Amino acid sequence: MKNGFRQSMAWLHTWTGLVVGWVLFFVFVTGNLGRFDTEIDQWMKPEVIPQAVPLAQEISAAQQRLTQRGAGAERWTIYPATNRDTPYLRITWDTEVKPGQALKRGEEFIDPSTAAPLDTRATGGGQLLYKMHYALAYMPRSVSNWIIGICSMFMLVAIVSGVITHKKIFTDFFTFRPNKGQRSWLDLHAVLAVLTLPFFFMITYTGLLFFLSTLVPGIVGANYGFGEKNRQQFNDELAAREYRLERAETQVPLVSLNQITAEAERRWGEGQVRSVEIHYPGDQHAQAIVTRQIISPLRSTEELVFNATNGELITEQPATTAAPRTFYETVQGLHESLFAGWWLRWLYFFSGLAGVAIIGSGLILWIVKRRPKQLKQAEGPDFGHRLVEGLNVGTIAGLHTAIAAYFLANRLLPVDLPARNEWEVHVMFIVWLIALLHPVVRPINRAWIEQLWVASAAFLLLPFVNAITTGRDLFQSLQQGDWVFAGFDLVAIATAILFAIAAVKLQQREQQQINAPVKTKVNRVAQEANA
Amino acid sequence: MATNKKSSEEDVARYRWEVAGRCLIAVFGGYLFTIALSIFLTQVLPIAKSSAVMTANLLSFAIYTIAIIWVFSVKEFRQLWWGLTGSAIFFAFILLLV
Repeated sequence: MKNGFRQSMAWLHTWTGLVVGWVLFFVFVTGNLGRFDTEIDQWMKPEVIPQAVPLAQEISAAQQRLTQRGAGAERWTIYPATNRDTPYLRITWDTEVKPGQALKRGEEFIDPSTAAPLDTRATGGGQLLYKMHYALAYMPRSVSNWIIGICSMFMLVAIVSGVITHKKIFTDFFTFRPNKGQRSWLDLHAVLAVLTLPFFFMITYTGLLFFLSTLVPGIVGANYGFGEKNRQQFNDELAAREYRLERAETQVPLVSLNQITAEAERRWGEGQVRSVEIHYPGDQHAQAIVTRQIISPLRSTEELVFNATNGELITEQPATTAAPRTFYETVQGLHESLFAGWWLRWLYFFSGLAGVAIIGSGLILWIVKRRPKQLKQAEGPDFGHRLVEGLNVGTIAGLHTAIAAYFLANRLLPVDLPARNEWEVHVMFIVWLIALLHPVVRPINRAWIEQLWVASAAFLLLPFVNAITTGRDLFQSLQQGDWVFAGFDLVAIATAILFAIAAVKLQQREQQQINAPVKTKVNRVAQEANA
Repeated sequence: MATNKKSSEEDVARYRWEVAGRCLIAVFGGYLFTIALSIFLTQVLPIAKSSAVMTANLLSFAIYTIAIIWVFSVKEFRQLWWGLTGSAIFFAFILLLV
């Protein structure tokens, strides 16, 4: 398209990256926080401290509650608090709304001692923040699936064309030239991208694979037919699940599920039960499928399938089946990181931060590269240029302020406020909207500095507001070894410091540009702009 | 071809139309080609049907990426018509096949 292959790819990289950059930034920031989703859950439900309870008690409580709540459902699932991903006993039930359509899901966290919902403030918690990275907010999944799917496809093209553009991949691995304007932003962008390329590529490609049924339904459709039921048939065939039954349409009561999980623990060992899924509860053909803890990237685990009306074992499913499925389940497991221990989880987090920085620096680079020419224009920068600048400030700084506001809302909104959990989200998006509009009324440099300070202040507030509202201050948390609360406070403070440093740097540069005589090209351009 | 200073307004306009055209061909033509090749793979891979479908699923986004890259790397815009026509015929052939 351009004069050479590489030039064409540079063009493609620039524009595919720019068009979806802000959505991807949102996806990366919220998805990265999702590495600590259940820790954030615990922080946002300070009233309830996870307690170790015997599995039998959890299963009984769950069955009792599901019998009330999930009557007539197609499927129940019980997640006992037996691993990091489940700090509180959780139940879900899926009910058919219309034949052939996706099931409607109900969900509750349960107190195992009372079999009643967990007595805590209404909050979306870390789960909701994490869900935003693939479901966004204020829209049905049918819409968000397309938005995220298309943006991810753009990102994949941006990654591949970026790598092609990059001819000195080895040299640039060791190249960083700070304080050189555009050169430094490009170095930062490239160094981080080269360093985390395997991670970045894996996250993007596997992210796309989550949307197979939205983006490329035709591949399954051409072979099995379209729709939920046919897709299920494909999945069962691939996973070699031959035990599935249709409803018998005869009512037979469930066996005590305790009996089933006890048998699973006898076979696998204590603490190995990850979840219990019951198909057609109350029907004669009810089956209970017990899954095992995830200990490797392969997220499909061994399963024990029981007859849920008499507790007899029907079959044992292996974790690995057909090679393409095992491959799929392994790479999807790499994306979800459910297997990751603390060290690896933090490595995931920092890799994700690098991803955030790659996208952010790419967006800034677009501006920095075009600014000199834009500032020379008699009528000032174009609308498009100012739009990108404004979106950059409002997203790179503003989104973080919005997330801090989400956390602050969790602590400060009245506990009895109706639809309180929804208001937490409203607060987040109102703050983000203000941050996006703020650059419209302020000069761009001032907008950056002001928003960076606001973000810094918002994060610095978090440990204080938390200490005042819960009494669990940082020093107490550290003394008691409460790493969830201490970790949250420390990360908030570190974030505040980072934003403060960025603000100070920008202020210094602004001062230099005003005071210094014309020496560099950048200063000259800035002065021309001031004149 | 590109927007150098000497190019007239007409050239700029044509360049912009070509960019728009390439975007459309990349997104829709590329998609057509991806689905056609993926379904073709499910029919010819000598493995169980479900495994073949999953393999094609896994490869589909790589195929799409390569198709998009190709659309933007071709020098002459006219060459794209061959790709687009070929994809359409391929797709029609696949529809007859399944």
